[in-house]
Amino acid sequence: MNALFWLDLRVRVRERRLWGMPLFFLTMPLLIVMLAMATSLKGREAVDPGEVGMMVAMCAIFCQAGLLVILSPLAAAQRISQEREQRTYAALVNSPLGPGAIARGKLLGAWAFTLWLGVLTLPFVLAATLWGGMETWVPLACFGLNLLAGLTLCSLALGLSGLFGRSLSAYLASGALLFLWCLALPMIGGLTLGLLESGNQPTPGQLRAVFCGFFLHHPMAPQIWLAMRGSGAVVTYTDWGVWVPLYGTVIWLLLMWAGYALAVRGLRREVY
Amino acid sequence: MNQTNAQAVVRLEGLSKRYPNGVEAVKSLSLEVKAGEVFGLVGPNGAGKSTLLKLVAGLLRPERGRVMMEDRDLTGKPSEAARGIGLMPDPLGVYTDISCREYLQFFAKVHRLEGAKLAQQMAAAVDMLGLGPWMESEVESLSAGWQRRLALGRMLLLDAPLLLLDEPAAGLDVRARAELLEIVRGLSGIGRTVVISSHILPELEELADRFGIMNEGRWVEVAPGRTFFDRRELKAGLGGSRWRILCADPAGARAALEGAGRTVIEIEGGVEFAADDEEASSRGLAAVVQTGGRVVDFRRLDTGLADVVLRVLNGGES
Repeated sequence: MNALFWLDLRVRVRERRLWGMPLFFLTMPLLIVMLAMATSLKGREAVDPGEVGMMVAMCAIFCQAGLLVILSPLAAAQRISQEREQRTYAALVNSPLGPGAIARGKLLGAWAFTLWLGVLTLPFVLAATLWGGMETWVPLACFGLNLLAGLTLCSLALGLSGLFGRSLSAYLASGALLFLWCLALPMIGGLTLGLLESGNQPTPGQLRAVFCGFFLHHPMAPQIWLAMRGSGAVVTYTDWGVWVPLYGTVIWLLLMWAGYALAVRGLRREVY
Repeated sequence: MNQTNAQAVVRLEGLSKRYPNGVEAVKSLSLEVKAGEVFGLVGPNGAGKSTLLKLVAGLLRPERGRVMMEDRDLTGKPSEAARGIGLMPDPLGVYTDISCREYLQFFAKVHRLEGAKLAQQMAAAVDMLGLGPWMESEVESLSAGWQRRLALGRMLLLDAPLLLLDEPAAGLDVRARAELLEIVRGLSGIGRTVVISSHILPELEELADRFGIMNEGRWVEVAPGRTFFDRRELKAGLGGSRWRILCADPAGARAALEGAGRTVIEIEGGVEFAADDEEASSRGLAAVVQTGGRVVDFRRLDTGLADVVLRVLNGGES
């Protein structure tokens, strides 16, 4: 295993503020799950456990995804720029580790941190399935997709970290990218759909093009498809075929590769 | 250590480096550093010393020229160069959130040092650097001097034949500086080749076998320490200034000065001796004159590397 991965992990585990983050990470799903349960139980004389379980599982899955989307770039955005800031980069380059090995170690170190946070919320998701309403494999598959989305975001943030000399610039760039990908593109997509629907009824081709361009690669889109299909709920694109989550994950993999390539390119830069 | 017949550990061939801002930091520099040699790199700020060391370690890619190590071209190949060259950069950066043991183990793992060899190399490095009591301490808690020792430990672990030390004594107090330079002397003693750049010239002149004086990216002069002052024979254990008497009977002059309690070396047509001040040197001259020999010339020589560097950089004028 890459020595840098263990070093990074060891350093992160010892950070005092790191212990505040799991607490926050655990509290958020707990609150949301409790709210979901209260909402689904309110005013009911006869409780359908399946309905409660599905609601709780959905909330836990998307709370987990949302937190990973926010925290993954934070975990990775300073990994390379910090080496430059702390002047440890020269000693790292003066070692047999090539740029690829350094990037892989940093990426896995950042991802292991998000993986750990993800694992913390897994009991919420699995406990929800005990109520019924959703098969156990669905939240587990969503968990896997969440981790893949986390790895993609880590890779993109790491790539930006390789581009910038300062951690602050890397953080800002990662935030801007996250905003563009997770908020701006779906908003533009929503406006485009609105414009299309204000005229004639959009054709299935137009609809798919808009969804592919603006929505289906979103870090939560494949999970939504999977969770909706797994629970029998139907929204616009969940009745489309299995190509929907595949399309999303392929785009993620391409972005992950781009982030990694950017990080390697940044590491190939000379040490001044 | 005699390097005259030793093989070159590293050979620089016409290295040139221009930074993206247009500054040409190194201009067609060539050099051979021999095995076991301590090479002192001196020059004013911005002379190109750090750039040259980074070029040798492969951290920078030159526009022209090559870095050859035992017939292997290491130009701009840091991963390959790292197997034979250890660099202590300036400013020094060490991971501060881990213990000294973890720091050394990390670099050992990076260099695929394992098992008995790791234990042996680690024990030797820790012993040489006196890091034993600090091994479980966080690097952050160490003083600047001990952090530099730790960085040296990283390089010692690797068994790299060539060590590049960029301002290793920068920011250290007098004691830490003396201890660190003693360690560097020890490195030379165990056969490592050391290229050391420093602004602390009095210490460097005690240490280096050869000096390269750089200015504006070029060599102003590369010469053995002996050219400037006979370090081994005269400077050892002596303080103060060096004086030269050219005379008709150098052997008689030497005997007279040694009789007066001076440490002397005989040179062609005269002697050189050390004296703390002008009064002491005058007494030395008087002892030589009393032998009856004819004195041709009597002058104070360079008092150290700092004078030499200034003289060379000023185009020969002190």
